[in-house]
Amino acid sequence: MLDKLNKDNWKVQTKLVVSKKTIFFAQLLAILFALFVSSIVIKLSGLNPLLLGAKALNSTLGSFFGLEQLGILLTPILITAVAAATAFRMGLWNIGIEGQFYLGTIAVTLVGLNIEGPNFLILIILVIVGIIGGALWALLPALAKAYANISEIISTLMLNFIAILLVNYLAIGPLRDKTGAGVMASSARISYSLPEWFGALHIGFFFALIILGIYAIVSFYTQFSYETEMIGANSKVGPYIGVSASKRIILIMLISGGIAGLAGMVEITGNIHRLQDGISNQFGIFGIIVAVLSRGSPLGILIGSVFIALVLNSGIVLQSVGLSVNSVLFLTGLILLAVTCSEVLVRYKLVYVSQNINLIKEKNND
Amino acid sequence: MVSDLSAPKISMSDISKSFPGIIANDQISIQFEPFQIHALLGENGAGKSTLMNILCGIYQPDNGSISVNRKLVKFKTPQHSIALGIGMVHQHFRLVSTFTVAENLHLGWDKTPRFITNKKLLIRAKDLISKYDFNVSVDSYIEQLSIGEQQRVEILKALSRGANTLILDEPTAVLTPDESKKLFITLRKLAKNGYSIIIISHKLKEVVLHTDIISVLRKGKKVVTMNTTECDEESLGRLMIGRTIVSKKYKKSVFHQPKIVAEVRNICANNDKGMTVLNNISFKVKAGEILGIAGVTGNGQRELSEVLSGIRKTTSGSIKINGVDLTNKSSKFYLKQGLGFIPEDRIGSSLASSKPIYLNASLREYNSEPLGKNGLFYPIKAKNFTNKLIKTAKVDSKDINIPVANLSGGNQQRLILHREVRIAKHFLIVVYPTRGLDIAAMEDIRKILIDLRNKGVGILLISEELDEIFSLSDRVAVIFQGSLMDTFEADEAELSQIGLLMGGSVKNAR
Amino acid sequence: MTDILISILTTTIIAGGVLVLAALGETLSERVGVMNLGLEGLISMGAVIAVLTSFATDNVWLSFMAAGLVGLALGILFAFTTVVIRANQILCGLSLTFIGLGFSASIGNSVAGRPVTAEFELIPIPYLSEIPVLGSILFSHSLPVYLAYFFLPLVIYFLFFHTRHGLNIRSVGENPASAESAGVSVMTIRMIYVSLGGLLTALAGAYLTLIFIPTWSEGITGGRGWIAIAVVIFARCNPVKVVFGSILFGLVTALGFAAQAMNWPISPTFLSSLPYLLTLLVLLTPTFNANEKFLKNMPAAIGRPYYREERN
Repeated sequence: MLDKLNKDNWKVQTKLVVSKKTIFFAQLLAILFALFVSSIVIKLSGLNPLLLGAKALNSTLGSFFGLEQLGILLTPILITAVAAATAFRMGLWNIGIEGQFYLGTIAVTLVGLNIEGPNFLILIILVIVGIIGGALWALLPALAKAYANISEIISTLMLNFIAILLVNYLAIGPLRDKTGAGVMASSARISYSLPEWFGALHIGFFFALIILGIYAIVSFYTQFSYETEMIGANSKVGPYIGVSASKRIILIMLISGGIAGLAGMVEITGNIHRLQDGISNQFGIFGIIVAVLSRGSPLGILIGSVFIALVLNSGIVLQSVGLSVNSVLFLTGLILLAVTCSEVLVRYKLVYVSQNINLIKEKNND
Repeated sequence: MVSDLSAPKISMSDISKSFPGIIANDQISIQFEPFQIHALLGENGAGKSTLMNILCGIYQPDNGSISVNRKLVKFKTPQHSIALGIGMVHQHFRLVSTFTVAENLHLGWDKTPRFITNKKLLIRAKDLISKYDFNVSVDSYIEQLSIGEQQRVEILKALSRGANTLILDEPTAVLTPDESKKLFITLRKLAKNGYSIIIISHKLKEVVLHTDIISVLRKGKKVVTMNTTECDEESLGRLMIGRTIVSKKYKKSVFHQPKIVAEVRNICANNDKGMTVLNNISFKVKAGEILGIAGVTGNGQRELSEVLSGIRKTTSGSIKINGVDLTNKSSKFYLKQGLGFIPEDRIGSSLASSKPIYLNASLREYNSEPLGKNGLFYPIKAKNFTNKLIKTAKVDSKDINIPVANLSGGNQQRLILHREVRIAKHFLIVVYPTRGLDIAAMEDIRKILIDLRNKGVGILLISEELDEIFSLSDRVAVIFQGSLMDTFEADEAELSQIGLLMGGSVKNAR
Repeated sequence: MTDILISILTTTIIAGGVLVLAALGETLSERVGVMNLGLEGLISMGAVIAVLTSFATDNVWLSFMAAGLVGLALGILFAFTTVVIRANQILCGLSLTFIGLGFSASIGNSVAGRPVTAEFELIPIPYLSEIPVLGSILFSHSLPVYLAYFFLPLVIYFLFFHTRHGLNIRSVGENPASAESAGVSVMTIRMIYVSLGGLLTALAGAYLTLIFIPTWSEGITGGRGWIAIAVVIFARCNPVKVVFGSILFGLVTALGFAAQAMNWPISPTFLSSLPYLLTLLVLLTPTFNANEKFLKNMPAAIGRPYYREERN
């Protein structure tokens, strides 16, 4: 009996197979743990976490305005999550979603302010423009990774910062709204916009769902996706089946960037309508987090995006009680850390090994 | 060499060790003594390496005990066992390839002075080398050395740590016959001076020739320990696998078709580091024949197989598959000509280990019906396909959704083999097909190859086991440092002749 | 003219100090094979803790050390998740960034914009500081600057390349399996140096808000954590090269300030983007990066978790 307490009698072993259900529950537990830790931190700063949580949920889900805001946040996050998931599927860490998003908005503004035509037609053109803008911003890191194996993490990240500065420069400078209509420095209003359907929530919401649907179909049912997945898991498979790994890397990065640019297009023509600082409320980062949490599963992306949008909205709502918006970042960081660890921990099991002569045999799988 | 006292007597009693899904050691008791070369004989998976890793403190036994000169010891870390004079030379060297010989010798050593400079290390290393009478240049980086030289550094490392019990894991696996001879001379010298030498091997001939005591392991248990003088190859072989090995000699090909499925002319190619690794190789493979290529690993076999399957580009020369010139075209074209390829490292090139079995099984046919059509892919059809495939291949796995890495080596090989055989309508390239497999799996695979050949497929068989080459091939060629030394009809060749060619004895380089 | 030059170069040294400290911290971590992407969060936390402590105690050294302690704690947390639990290093690093940025923003809210009054004494080095031009640029700074530029890099360089312990440390980053076989405890060494890396990086944050920009505001880190990572890549994990890389980036920042102050006709946004552009340039330049030779100079085992008892 006592030797059960002796730590030398316990060994840590790795499980061969872990079911999806187990992983899901582990993630759930991790999220709860992260929420628990944050609530302790909130408590220490003198506020009541439960009250805050209730207030946040109530304002978000319990009112027309709340749901509308939720939808507005959900839309870009869904799309950026798909953008991130596309790259992650191949093991490419495209951290530059934010920058590619912004380039989408820039491209849309540049074209949208200088073009004439019926709303519907122009919007279609702007969709293409947004995609191209985002894709172009991913091109350099893509080439660097494909041909020189330069880490895409840092290269895409630097481009994020540059993109933000570029937006600032354009909004304050060359594209500045000369009529002085806006208080914040921003461009003139783009006259083409996505129609609204639920209060201020625009049809971009449906775009996002459609994009998610396309992602789901493509990832399960195309040879392209199959090849990408396999090469992403082992780059040597590329030459083995006759698919160029470097060309595929570039293509995937461009698609990922393009979708991020599309998210930018949707946000600017649906919600903000002008080029200005801060269009993206860290949508790129949150998209990445959703993609990571969902492990690329379309259903997971949906659920994860709703969850993150809820958290984000709570952060905005709770500003009125003095909670900084960035405390949301803290919570999401905790969630990411907890989930990342839980997925690994769930594969470990503690095995009791008797020191007796009678060995406790492991059951073989046969 | 050894200080006044000789190596201690080591005794391992009732050692047991399991890993997820497998019992590696099952109550093994064994003793090691100085002045002896003791062989641990067994096939792959018998538990030899695990047992020695326990002796070295790398693994902890689940049960059992170890005593050194009758004192009970527990090796919690490798450092403990190193302190007691146990040194291991692993099959896959534990050297830091980006460090120099001198740096490697001083790594993790408490006798290394606290403050060092490059010069100091070089001087000290030179001293060590002369003390043990070895021959290696101390300021070379490990990655610049040959395999034989690297092994010498490993041995030197162990000796300089005060090892008097030296364990060598499959030491001759990567050596030429000549280097192997040199190694055993060195080992015999050490044993004479009081060292206790333990050799892990699966090579019957070697063990019978060069050792004093042999212990046979089989499926995790120790079968017997005998003096080498009382053993012969055949009885040892029987003990190793539990039945008599029938070294089957398959009937030679009955096809006499003139059709050439693969024709290679004067090809040269570089390895990943840019160095020439294939030198003007030319040969032909006919339909319905097996051409065996013998040679010690590392003489260009891998690159040759990659060139022939379109994975690697050539720097000159031409390749024709089925009469179609495919020089430097993408492997897609090779596949179209009915080519199948089982590469040297299964997990490395032909499987994505973290992906499910059914996705890996579909790797060759995902874009043909019924799995794929018009750019689409049908996972359900892929799963049905896989279920059928694993039945044919006798892969025992209940769940095709688990990562393919969870299959045993034998099952993986069977899966790949059957996957490739399905698409190899005309030509199959197979590299080290039975490496790391148990005898039953080996026989299965060899039978499949013969059947395929009898159906009219041309097969290029690259193997390191001469017995396998001779048992299966119709013609045999020897590769050495990227050149084909000579090609014979299998019946006409002599093992000793082949051995010489493998070692580079230039007689008729072609 | 010389005055302007001196002032730019002096600012360069001061500005670069943040990067030196952060990059040295990352060097420690990468040398043992762990890539820490949480630098931005660590710097942020160090910065805010230093500011808060300085308002509470009015003592610069206490503030500096407090930041270091917090950095050590966070470093231990990060090391635990990546080395003991063996979770994905990239994701753990990113989490640390968010956690650090988020938490510091929250607790720093109340003091945002308030100028830090506690100061480090300037300690001109006797004789050396009297050299014309060079003297004021290099030898008339406060202790932390000397710490960052002279003391730490030399100590780290000496430790890594001229001691037995250093040989063992480096082997962990090159080939952990070989290191373990040779009797080096990979887990222990990784835990130690990754944690110390966290400490140094947080000190970079303290340096930022106590010496360079003496105040706290959200986003004051301005991507320096990421730039530090680029510096480490540029310097190929060599502590002495890290110093030179940091000076280069510091120069770019100093030029940006000078341009603004003297109304040079260059867009301020462009100047602000210079550090990031330079990072990109450094990353993408063929001489530094394109081929195997470069990759060989980074510790070979970076990024992969190490399992001692992994079978096959």
